[in-house]
Amino acid sequence: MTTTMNKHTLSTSSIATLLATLSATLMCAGAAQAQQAGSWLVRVGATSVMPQVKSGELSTPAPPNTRIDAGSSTVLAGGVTHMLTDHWSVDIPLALPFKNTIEGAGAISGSGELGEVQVVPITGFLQYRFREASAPWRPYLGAGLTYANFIQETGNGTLTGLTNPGGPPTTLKLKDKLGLSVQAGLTWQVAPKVFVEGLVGYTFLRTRATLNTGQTIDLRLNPVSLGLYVGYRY
Amino acid sequence: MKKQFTFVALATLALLSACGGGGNSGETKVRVSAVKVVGASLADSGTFGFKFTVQAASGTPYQVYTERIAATYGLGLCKHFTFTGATFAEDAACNNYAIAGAAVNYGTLSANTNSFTAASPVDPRSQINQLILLGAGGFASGDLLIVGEGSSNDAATLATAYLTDVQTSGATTLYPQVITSLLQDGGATAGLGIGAPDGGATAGVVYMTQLARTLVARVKTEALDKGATRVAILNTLDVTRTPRFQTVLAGIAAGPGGQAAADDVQALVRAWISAYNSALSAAVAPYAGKVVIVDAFQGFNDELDNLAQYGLTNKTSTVCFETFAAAGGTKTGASPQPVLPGTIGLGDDDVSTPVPQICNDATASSITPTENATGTNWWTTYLFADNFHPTPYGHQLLAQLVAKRLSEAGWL
Repeated sequence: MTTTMNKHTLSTSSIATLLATLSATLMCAGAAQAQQAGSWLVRVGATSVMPQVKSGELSTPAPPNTRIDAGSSTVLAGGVTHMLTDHWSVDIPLALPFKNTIEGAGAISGSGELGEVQVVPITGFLQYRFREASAPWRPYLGAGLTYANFIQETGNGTLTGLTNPGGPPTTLKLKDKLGLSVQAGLTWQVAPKVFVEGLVGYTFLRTRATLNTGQTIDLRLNPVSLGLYVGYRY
Repeated sequence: MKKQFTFVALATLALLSACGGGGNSGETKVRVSAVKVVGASLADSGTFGFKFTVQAASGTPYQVYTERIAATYGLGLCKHFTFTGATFAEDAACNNYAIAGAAVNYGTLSANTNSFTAASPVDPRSQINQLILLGAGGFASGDLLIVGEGSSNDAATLATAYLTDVQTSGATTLYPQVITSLLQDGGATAGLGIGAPDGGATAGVVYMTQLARTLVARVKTEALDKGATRVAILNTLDVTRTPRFQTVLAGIAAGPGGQAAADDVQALVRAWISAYNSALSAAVAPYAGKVVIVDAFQGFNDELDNLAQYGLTNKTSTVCFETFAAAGGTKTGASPQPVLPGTIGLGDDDVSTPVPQICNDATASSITPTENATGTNWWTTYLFADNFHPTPYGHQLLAQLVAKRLSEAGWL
């Protein structure tokens, strides 16, 4: 009878009933499933990248102490994590390109925005997750490599004015670089398969910007990254 | 599944690597509707048929700093005045009012007649007159006004008047005449000129202070009151460090007073310039947000003190001297000067060959200079084209300085 009723209910496409049933199923299975070996975790949210720029001086000819800075960027981001064991996981963050402004610093600190660069970091982490697989809170530490791929570097009229006013527009190119990344994060299981994840990361990243004037400027970008996501475990 | 993700990552990497870099949007922080200029030789787009820098033997003439600034906004700039041989013909379509030789208190100095004939503000070579003419057309709020380097000519004129009076032991009174022509105080400030107890030093400071105030007062009435919202004023650079003045100082040092006398003169002129620059900064203070000072004084000194930092190799010789001397050019006149870096100027008329004719890139590249012979491009890293004006690269450096200040003001 019950079976018949359920069939009848489903056949009428009662969404409320479907959700209630699904929810009950998940709750029953909750304790048995966790971030355990073989799990796939997929997350989506936002990542902020905040470069901690230490700029060298623009090579001659330029006023002494001509330096640059970079602005922060927050984009739609996420990632995929695969649990190798109950504690060890590999993680690949994914994000839309980070758009960072390039600004004057040092002798040209008042010059404001000089252009923009997009960064597409290709990153892989090996992570260690603390506590047992089924724990609702699981902090983790990770380390990995980031290949910073700089694209769409675009100078503006200010950059041309500061470097070669009246000449050909000044362009710049940042050298793509590999850097070491470390991270610390936390997942919080808010529903049997749903979790919230927060992380902070740091990447040791040096690069060199080259202008079409032939000048170069060495940069230590060392970005701090912050992420907040909602995830789903398969 | 892991393989799939790896594939996606690699595909993304490949796709992104294909994207290039290195563009330029050309965007500036504000849209500038027109660049308008008053000034003197550095800013001049060719009133006298040539620009005060190295000439291009063929093709497009080299840009002066004001033209470079206009180009940064994607704008053109052309000479408003053309010297016809007697007068200055105007071209209403062109906004560069700068004329070589212009000064704030423009006038004609003559040792022979012991006279300074002030022509400000009626002569187009008066930077005040240029402001009046330009202001008559009004300003759009999007316009950028560059008030150029005329005051450096004022400083040079005052120094020439002073030195002439010293040379004639007071037989001429050019120095007090120049001062009184501006102050209009019946000679109270100028007093005995070089014969004053302080040798005239204070009077020069008062003059230069009033000169700055006079200029700014006109910027207020002729530009700000007529709609200008962005004005960049160059302060006075240290003219004592130009080859022309260095030669004068060397002459003084070779005289009975020796190096100490030369040092005294240099300190005196620097005190005038410093007074002007301080007064200029103070006078524009009420117009903050609309008027900025380009510190040409500091910029020029930085370049001279750090040649390599600015990509320069030479500050003592000049391109025009090298080409003129290599061609066997001579100075003419009753008692011709020797041919030295400090005695060859693009505007000189006491020369065997017009300097602009021979002071060009092709000629320069064909000779070996006496200093810093670094190949055929030697002249591109000299600071001075002639004894008072920069090379095209020197103009670029000046334009960079102006651009830096404009960007700091939020105008570039």
